[in-house]
Amino acid sequence: MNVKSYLQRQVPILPLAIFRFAFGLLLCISQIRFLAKGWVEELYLAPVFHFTYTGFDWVTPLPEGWMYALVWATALLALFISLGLFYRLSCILFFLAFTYLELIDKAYYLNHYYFVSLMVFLMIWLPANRQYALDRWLFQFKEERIPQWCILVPRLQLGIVYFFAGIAKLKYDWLILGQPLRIWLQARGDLPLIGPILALPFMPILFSWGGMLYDLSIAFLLSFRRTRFFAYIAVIGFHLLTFVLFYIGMFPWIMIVSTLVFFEWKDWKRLFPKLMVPALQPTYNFKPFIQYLLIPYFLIQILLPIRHFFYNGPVLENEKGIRFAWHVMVMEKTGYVEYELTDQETGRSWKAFPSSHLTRAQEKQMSHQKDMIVQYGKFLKENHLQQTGNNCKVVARNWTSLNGRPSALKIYEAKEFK
Amino acid sequence: MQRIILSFMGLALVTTLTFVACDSETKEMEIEVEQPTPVDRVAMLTNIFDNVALPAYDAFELETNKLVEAATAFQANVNATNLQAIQTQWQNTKLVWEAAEVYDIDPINNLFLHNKVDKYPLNQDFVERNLNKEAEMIDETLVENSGSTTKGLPVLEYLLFRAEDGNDILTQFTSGPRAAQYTKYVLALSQNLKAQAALLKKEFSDIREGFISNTVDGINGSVNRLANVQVGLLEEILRAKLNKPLGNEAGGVAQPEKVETPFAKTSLQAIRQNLVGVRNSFVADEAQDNLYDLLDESHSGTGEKLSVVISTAFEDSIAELDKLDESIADMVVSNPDALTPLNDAITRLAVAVKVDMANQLGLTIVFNDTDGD
Repeated sequence: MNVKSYLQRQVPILPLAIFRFAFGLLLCISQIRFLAKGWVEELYLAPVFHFTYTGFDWVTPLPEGWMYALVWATALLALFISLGLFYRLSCILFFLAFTYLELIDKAYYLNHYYFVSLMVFLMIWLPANRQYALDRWLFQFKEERIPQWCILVPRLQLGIVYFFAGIAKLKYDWLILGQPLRIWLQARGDLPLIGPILALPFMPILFSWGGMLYDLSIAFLLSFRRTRFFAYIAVIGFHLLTFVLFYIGMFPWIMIVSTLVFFEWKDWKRLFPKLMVPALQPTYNFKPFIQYLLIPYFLIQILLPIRHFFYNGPVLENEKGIRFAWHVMVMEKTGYVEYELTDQETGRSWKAFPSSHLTRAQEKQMSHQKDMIVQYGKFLKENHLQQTGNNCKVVARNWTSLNGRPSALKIYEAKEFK
Repeated sequence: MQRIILSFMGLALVTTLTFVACDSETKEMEIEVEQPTPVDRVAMLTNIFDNVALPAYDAFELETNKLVEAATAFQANVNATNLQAIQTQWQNTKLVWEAAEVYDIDPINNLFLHNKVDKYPLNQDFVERNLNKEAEMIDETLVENSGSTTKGLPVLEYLLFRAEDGNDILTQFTSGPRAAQYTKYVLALSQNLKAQAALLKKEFSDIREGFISNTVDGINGSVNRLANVQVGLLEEILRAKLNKPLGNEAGGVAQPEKVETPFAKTSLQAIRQNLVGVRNSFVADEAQDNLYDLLDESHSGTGEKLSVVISTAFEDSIAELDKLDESIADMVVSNPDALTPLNDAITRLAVAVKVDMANQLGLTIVFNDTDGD
């Protein structure tokens, strides 16, 4: 069988429908959790300054009522996606609303939020509502088979996440020093039962290499029929362990649920023999442009995680190209920033402290990311100009500590803030 | 299908080897060779709680008792000697409080008791409104029902150390138009401080078991909570107690009135006591497991120990502070550069705790618990 015929092979829609149901439900829970933790107020409404992405300065929070309504809407839309109700419209609206929320402030960038945006974007183009969905009943859909590539699309996306997360771990700190796991595991040494085991001196290296090998290989192992079952057990074990050991929110659950898409319809049929999988039904007809849309999409997905290799300096230090690149849990980094402002007219100098405008969460993220340090410095400069009509010179002093190293001072001179 | 996957795996292997070969991360750190001495975290937290934290609140309660005694004596006999006595006792109480200030640790902070003891700046209009009431209306109940900016140590300072237009302070209590109000307000404030101190000590004692047994890592662990209040106070010293009077919120124009104790002029000593209090939370009883031991436990084995760095930073900060012999309010106007070495020393201390300690122990210096990575 050649590649083309493999990709075009007609297969039951079932794995995609199951993925849609589970993934949508998890997103719904995730958004309700977001509301319950009070993060709408804390992350979007309370801050007086937001770290917008380049080119997205126009993305600002809505008024309070609208903000809450929007997050509730994303929860509802996620439920619709899960149930397969107005599926495509729900995917489009969820993608737009969720991505808008993520674009408000890069201080809140999380790899799994980015993954959610990407996956829902892909789901817009995939007919996951043709079976086991309310849309089937509502719109009298008949199709139950789709080309194989439709199921490969979310698998490929997941494979990219895992594989590049593995590539990101191919670093001296991770593989040789066992950092940052050495810090994190030692801090968990008091856990009942497993604490003493985690504190063993060779565990950081064992965990580091295990994590790296897991990330690099798991998508392949999930793809093979013979290894799939054991690979999925590994997925559950790995992510449950990360859930216990680290504070990474919904990430473990998202990956445990998403990787269900690697199971073939035959696997599901073996598990649930009574599952209806009709053999001869009409096939979903795709508009050809969708396939051509996906080729550049995945090309970008492969280029983004490796772009940092083309920048100067170690990525963990300068963090250039670290976002959208699946650098998941690869560093323990803390920082401290203070600004010195000098009024160009009066010659007076004073220190400015980020806590005057930033929340602790924003300040924490900014404290080790140069682009954000510069962004806030420019804000201080502009703020002073508006208040006094005078220009001022800004200098930032930034101390950062990476993976247990002593803190190092970097000074960002006035030219950075022009 | 298998051929496709195998091809991908082959490609992956080649890519992997390429990236390992190309990795240019910093490699200055050596592999840990020294097996650290294990720290008993329960013993460490018990040491901190029993030997420095609770005694700090205990000492504060003791001083507030003396404050009430001084206020009672002053009310009974308003004269220069008793005024001097209560002023001195206010200073003693304030400075002891500064050493306890760091222990506004979760869940104590949820009670906002620290605000009731020492929230500055006070609201002068509200204080004056209280002073303008009938003397009979001014009592501990009024103070208890007043907002945080209308009671506590700053208001007491306002009454005891601020001379109204041209009068001397004693006159305000003897023949001033509101002499009775002044005297009663002083007593009521002192009594309320005593009540707050007793409540604080009780509430703090009640969290003992939770504090010493909460050895878990993460945002809710006692070490993490303690680190957050340590960092919070060091940043407060820098931002509010030092740099606000230097003009950090006024375009560099000195604001001497923004010092912590604008009337008693003990701001410098207050900062010193803050530093001593935070240092105590690291050292506790030196003979037992303490935070420095925990830092040594997680030391990488190379370079200077962070416990030494932090300990030195404390000593440097206090030494720089001891070199200063004027009040902060005077210095920000006459010689602001004199404060630079102190500013720098406390910044180095804050960096060592907030950046280095947090990194080495894997702590989360942030008050919310948003997801990571």
